[in-house]
Amino acid sequence: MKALRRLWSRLTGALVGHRRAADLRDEMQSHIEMQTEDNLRTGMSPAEARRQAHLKFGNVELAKEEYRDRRGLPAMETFARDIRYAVRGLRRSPEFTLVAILTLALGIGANTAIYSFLDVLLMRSLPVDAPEQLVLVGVSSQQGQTTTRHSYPLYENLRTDAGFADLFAEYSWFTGMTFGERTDRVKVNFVTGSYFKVLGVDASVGRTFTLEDDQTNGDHFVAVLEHGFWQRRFGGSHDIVGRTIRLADQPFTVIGVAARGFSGTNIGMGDAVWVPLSTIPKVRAGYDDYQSAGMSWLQMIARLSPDVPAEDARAAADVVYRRALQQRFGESKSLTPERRQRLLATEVLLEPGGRGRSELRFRYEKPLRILMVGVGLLLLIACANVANLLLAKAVVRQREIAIRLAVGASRLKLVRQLLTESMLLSLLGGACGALLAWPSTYALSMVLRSDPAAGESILIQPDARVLAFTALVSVLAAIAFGLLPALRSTHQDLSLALKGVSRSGAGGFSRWHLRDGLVVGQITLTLPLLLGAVLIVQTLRNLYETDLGFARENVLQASVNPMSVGYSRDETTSFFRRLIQRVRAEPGIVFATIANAGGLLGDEYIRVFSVEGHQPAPGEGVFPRVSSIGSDYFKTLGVPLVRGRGFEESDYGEGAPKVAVVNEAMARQYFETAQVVGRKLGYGKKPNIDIVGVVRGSKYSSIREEPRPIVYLPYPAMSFGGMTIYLRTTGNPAEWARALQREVREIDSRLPVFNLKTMTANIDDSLRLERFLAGLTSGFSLLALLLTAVGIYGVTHYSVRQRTHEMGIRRAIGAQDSDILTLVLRGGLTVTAIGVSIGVAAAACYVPARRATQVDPMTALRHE
Amino acid sequence: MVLKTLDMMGPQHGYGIARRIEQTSGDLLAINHGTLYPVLLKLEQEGAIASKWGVSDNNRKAKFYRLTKTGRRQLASERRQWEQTTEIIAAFFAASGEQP
Repeated sequence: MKALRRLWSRLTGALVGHRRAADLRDEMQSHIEMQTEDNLRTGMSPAEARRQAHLKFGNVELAKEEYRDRRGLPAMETFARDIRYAVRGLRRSPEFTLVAILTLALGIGANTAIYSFLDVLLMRSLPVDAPEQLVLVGVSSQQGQTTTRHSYPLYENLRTDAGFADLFAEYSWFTGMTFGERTDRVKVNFVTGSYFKVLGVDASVGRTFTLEDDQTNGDHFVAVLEHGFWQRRFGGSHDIVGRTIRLADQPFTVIGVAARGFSGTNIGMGDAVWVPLSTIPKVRAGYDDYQSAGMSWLQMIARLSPDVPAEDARAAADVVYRRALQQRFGESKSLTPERRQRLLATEVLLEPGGRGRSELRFRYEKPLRILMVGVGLLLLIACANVANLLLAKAVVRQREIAIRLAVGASRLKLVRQLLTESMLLSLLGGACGALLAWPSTYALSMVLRSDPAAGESILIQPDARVLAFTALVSVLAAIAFGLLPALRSTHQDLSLALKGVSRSGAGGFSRWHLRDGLVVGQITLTLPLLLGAVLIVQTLRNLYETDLGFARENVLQASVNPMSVGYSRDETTSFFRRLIQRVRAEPGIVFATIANAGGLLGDEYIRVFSVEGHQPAPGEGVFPRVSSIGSDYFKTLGVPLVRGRGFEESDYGEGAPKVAVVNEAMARQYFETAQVVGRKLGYGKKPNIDIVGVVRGSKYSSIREEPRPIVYLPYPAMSFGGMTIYLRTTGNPAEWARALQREVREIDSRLPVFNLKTMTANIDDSLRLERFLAGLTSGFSLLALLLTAVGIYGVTHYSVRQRTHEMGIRRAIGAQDSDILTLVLRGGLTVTAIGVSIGVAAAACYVPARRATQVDPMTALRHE
Repeated sequence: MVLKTLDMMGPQHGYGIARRIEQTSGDLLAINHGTLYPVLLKLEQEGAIASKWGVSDNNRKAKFYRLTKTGRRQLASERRQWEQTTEIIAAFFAASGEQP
């Protein structure tokens, strides 16, 4: 208690220190005067009285100092003094301060921005109970990868028989959500009743699901809303509980809103609405039989019991999985023995699930790590620059420092003071950097939002953890750029410094080398950044110039899914028929068609085919990609026809003869000839679909892919509701966007139109990752280049100033302007050349070294 | 000693306290008056005494210290401790006197 009181009073004492100092002075003054008066009374002379009083009192300064030490917190006061001193120092040279802070802000800001991305995508745990206990349930697939899609019966078996604390399964799908007049396309997650319980997520309004909500088929049409979606779409109104929303035209009663901040287990692609899994047959066509063992579609996350080791849980789950496999395939006659063997050899795998799963993570992990290294280099370059500036400043302050050392300041104290100054600079830079991070992460989230794997709602923002990271980086940076100059500038020959000799003589020589070294380091670091950026930009350019196999100009696309507002299959077919008819009547539309995949939108439909006269090798099969297309597809997209014909109106409709068009890759791979018109393919043992035409290869789901076999079928074969409309226009296709939306609205105003953009915009979007990387790395390397240029300028400028004396003498003995110019240029260029050669050498060593790490040990051994 | 002085004499300024200590000890304890002030500060920080500017007997501005309730309690407990200590020491001396 006493100690606490003392601390408090010390703290306040430290704050009002100057007032107390005056107080004490007055008090001591009056003490001495009283003593003097008493002494006078005893008959001393005034001078003697005063002297005796002082003697009696003792050393005034000592008393004051003791008093001061007791009054405040000496360490804190020294620190405050250092800071005051640092502030004064920084204010004395505002240009230096501004340049240093800006440099650091850029370096630190870039690090903060990239780190916030890394944090959200790669490091942050789900906002759920004990996320470390969650595991993703997977099965090793026959190709040696892990599949995470499972059947409903497996979920039930695992839930009751395996050693997990609990388990849930989920399946998400985009569909239309209608509330009031408006329909939005939202991500609906069909979850088992255990979902919220396993995750330990509560409702912020109303309630979440119970097991009963998912028990009886088709009885519980209830929905839980995601907090952010509820805010955006329903204005955060509490009245929503008990109201009805329609999903694919099926009414659901809202029972609650999930806890704020929780948006499902898929990072970057948040859920908007959760509904019980048992409602799926009423929402999605083709899911009546969702409990069949033949459909592998559910993703599962389990919670491990704290007292069961993960390996035991895995083994228990594996037993359950094997039993199910054995039941299903053990006696199966439809499988070849090898295939059955391979199926039975698969096993359950568990992966940590505390961070959820993410498509974005998979795609952006490597680029983000590369970028993190890049921004790290950038920060180092920035630090080198500031260190250089500090060294230059130290020269100006050399005399001041020398004097302070001479009058007895300890070196430690001076270093501490100089470091405080660096720390202050760095923290100011960090603060500005953190401010920069807000707009830059916002811009980066906008880039991400155009990614189909990211939700509309994704917003990456620096949070407390990221800011802590920024602060840490700032402190490290301060040490990186501040320590060396501080040690350097306090280590000097006093007698020389005081005489001002080192300004032009030997004393500055070693420092000159240090500064050169820093610039060489900067150039060395800049080079790999530049080279990397050039490579990435080159890759991007190559991708843009790739032959797509179709014409990218004058094409507009838009996707519509009538089933998302409850259309049946037949209604959907006639909807598209009507839409295409109407659109074709619009002026300026040359061709119009529809397709379910193949337009680089990332969707893929793959099907097993049988090919007449082709016997697949054991373990292989015919798995071409399929595109269900309307008439005029090849004309609209400009896909060149090589042989035969495209689809005609007579190929569509009930009872039309079954026909297909294939691409050259398909013909070559499975027919070993391009002459395939008239040959047959099909789904079963007897191929019954006539091939009527062959088209040149074209890209299907992405620009990066190699040409792969494609089978085109006339719509509505192999279509599942959602289709993309393609228009070939006479002018700028963007101008028909409104017309297209209007046509859809006039048929059914509830239907959301998505992916509405020109083909060129679509290509831009599909290259977003490369563009994102190219933009950032070129930006960062230009910044690095700029900083390095400033560094070279600084060093040259400084060396010229240092050698003014020498230059004067050179001129006096007859050197020409050009001689001096050469002299200075040679200095700067030498430094640059050294840096460049080290950088190039490093890159030259890195590439083979990198290759060496990728050598397969078997190949290496075979070389022996 | 400071507390006892203030207890006996009521509010007093630093010089007064110093004089009083010297007088009480019969000038046996001749301290540097300057060392008194850090002690006063410590006591004030602990809440045993409080200070206020006032005017001395001969019309001089001076800071007066007075004992607070906490101070009185502290004085009482310290007196007890001291008495205990002296009793123990006295007992030792008494015991050692009988021994030889």
